[in-house]
Amino acid sequence: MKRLFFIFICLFLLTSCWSRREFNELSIAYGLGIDKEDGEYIVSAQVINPEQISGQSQQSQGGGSSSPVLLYEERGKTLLHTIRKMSKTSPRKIYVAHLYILVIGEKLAKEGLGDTLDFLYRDEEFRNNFYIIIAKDSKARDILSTATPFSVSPSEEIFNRLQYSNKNYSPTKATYIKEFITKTLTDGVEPVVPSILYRKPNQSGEKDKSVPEPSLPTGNAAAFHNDKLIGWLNENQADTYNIITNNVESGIYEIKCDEEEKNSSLESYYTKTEIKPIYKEGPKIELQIEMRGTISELNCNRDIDTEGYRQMEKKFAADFEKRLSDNIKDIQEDIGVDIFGFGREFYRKKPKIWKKYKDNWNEVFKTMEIDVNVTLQITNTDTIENSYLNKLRGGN
Amino acid sequence: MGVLTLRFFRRKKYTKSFLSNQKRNQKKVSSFQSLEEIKQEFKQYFGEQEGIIYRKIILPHINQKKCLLIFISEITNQDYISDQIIQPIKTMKKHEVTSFIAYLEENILTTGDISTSNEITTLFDNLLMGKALLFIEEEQEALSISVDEWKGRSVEESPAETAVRGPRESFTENMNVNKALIRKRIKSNKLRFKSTRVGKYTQTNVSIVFIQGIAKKSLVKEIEKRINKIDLDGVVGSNIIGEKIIEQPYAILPTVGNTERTDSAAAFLLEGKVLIIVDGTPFLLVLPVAMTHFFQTAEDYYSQSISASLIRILRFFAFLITLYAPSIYIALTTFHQEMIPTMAVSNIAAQREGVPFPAFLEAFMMEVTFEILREAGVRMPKMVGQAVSVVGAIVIGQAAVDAGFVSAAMVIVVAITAIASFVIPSYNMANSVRILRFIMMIFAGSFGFYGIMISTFMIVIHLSSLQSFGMIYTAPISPFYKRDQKDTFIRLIRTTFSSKGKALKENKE
Repeated sequence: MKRLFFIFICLFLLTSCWSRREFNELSIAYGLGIDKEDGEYIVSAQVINPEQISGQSQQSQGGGSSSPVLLYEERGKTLLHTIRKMSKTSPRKIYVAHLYILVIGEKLAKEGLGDTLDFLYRDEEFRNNFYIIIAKDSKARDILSTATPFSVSPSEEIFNRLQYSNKNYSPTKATYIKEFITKTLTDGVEPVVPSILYRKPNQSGEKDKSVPEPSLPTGNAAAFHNDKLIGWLNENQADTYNIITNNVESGIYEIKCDEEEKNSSLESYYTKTEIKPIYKEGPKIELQIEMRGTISELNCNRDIDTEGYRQMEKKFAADFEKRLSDNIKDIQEDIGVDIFGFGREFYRKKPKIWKKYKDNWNEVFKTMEIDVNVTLQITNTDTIENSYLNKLRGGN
Repeated sequence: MGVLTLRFFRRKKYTKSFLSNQKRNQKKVSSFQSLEEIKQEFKQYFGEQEGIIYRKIILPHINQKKCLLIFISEITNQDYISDQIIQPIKTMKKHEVTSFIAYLEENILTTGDISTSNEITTLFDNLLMGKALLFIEEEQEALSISVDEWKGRSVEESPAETAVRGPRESFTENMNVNKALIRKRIKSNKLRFKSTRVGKYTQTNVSIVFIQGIAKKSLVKEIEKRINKIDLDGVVGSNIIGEKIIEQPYAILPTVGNTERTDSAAAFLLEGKVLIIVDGTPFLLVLPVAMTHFFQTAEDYYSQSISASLIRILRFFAFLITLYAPSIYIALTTFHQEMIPTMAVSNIAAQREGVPFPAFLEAFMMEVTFEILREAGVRMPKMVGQAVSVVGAIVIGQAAVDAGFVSAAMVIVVAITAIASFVIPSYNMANSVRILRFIMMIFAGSFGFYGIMISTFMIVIHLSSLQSFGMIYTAPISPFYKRDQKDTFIRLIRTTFSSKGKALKENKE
């Protein structure tokens, strides 16, 4: 009995995590911004005022005069020190477990994120399901201090927008912090991160327009070499990047009936890329891209039968192969680091070859021969068959 | 134990042997030499059953002819027997006809439903049906005279255990009525009642009911032994007996079942359980029971197998809600805010805004308030009860939230906890869960999920230590009896009552 009691007491004495804290002692941060200036970190934390944000303000407080989000900003030598320093202005602990986005200033990204990531990776309070975003040509705090139309919290809105866009617009890439950290640490693949553009509020013009322009549009994706930002992908390149890394759920592409025709559009609902590493007088890559799609716009002067669609498929595949090859070549030349993860494929499937080339892999990548094969299957044409325009003219 | 309620899977073997055990008695009345032999035959057949009256009558005007009247006293009308049977035959004069039996039937007896029979087995059955049997010396046949009277306070519906489709009958305070109600459902010669008196002053009749051949002998013996050991001034309710005979009277969870329904009682008997009737209490004790017994209702067997199974699973789910909901809320809002979905976190944070108490105190206050209201509702006369619920709804609902003492989320948690606790069919079990819930809340408020795990382990350890008359309390989940699963969390279609559910059979003696 004595021993049992002893064991029972141990249950309570041998534990950690005593951190009992009520909700009213926490400031929930939705967004965190990190910049570096003069060797010091500038951390900005966008925290929510829950009553305002959930629309539950108590009557006694006289109705929504306070802002739903607040921005705290401090400078300091280390990140945690800076965050703690915020208690000079914030009455509550900044709580980062519910972070939506982490914004990194372009300058800091170019310098390298190594030190920053160590903290994010190590601290137990951070979850790993928030997006990392680069503030292109601006500072993180500028992004976080901008109001957004839909959601009272800019962080939440950016998160939702990226999530939606990543799914439905093929050039958009959204990167969870987990993916970013993994890719910086993995050999043979480099991370790509979305960016946000900052637009200065147009103080004079804004009032004239009845519809304000959306703030904070998504910008080009940033390519990293290890923890350093080294270049930007344009939309075409980002699209290619997403196709090769299997990050396209649904994409819209131009497709033509024949040479002369106007553009029609193809909505792909299935895109699957297989990367095959080959060794033949040096490392090579063969890409097998399988696409399935539906015709969602058709501008043709003639009726198209099944055979016609088969020809369209072939033509599209040939054009698309060329387009992808060009884009890949551009990336090889402009960016010059292996963002596609070709090296990782060699590491996985042909480890001996990888061992031989891994020390100067990015040099190999720049000149590597890449063979692209696309197969397309048009599975249906939505609700009507032939072109509306053609019906209009042909009268049948 | 899933077994607890009606055991629906019986092995075929058992069924067969049960029926064939009643060896059909081929004897005829005419084969007996004397009334004494007939009496012996009955005594042998029914065993030492109480309540069967063997009444010798001598007809003074007809050569001192001897008659034997047999009836079961609980289920027959005594006035009727003396006025309509004994009186007329005692006073009958001569008879000229050759067949005395026919003469009695045609000229003397005034009862409507009379039959004659020579088959002794038919007569056994008639006796169990509440008829009086009249044997006359030197006659070839016997008379079955209908004098049955199944007693019961005008048959009432069970207030504590309701079933939408089941029979409405429930037990009453009168022991003889209860016995009659059981006999009415189980017309078998194997049904046994063993009575004793408990209580120095009250001399309360306590009767053990079981079916010989189905209930384990050792179990019956053990229960008898423990009842005989009881030394009390008085017994005013069945629970007092229950407390005195179970192994762990201080266990938090109940280890004695009870039922008010006659159909459930019959089912328990067929499963091999033993019932204890205490005179003056309409609740019969059911022994032995395991934990899952308290999640099964008679209704399960009156609705389709699939829906009954789903509802049973729902009950276990409700049990978990009522046990864990407030603790999980406390743990989430004070220790593990990161586990709340991000979409919900601003709402919950907004509600906690301005609440002056820590979440634990808030939850504790609300739960105590609810328990007070509930107790008030149960104790108050029905007419006033309405007022309690109105005040309760306003106080613990709207007003507390408006005043900012309590967050709206907390009210939701308390409400769902309360409603889930009403889903548990057993009142005793629901009360036990209340206690466990408070213990768990204290641990959750002190240590978060870690505390919830500690208290869960403590509950499991407690459960594992319990037994009910040798039956393991956690059976048939642990130890796992595959066959008993057919009637534990789900209810498959019955093939036969299982009187020997594995859990019951595997008693550690």
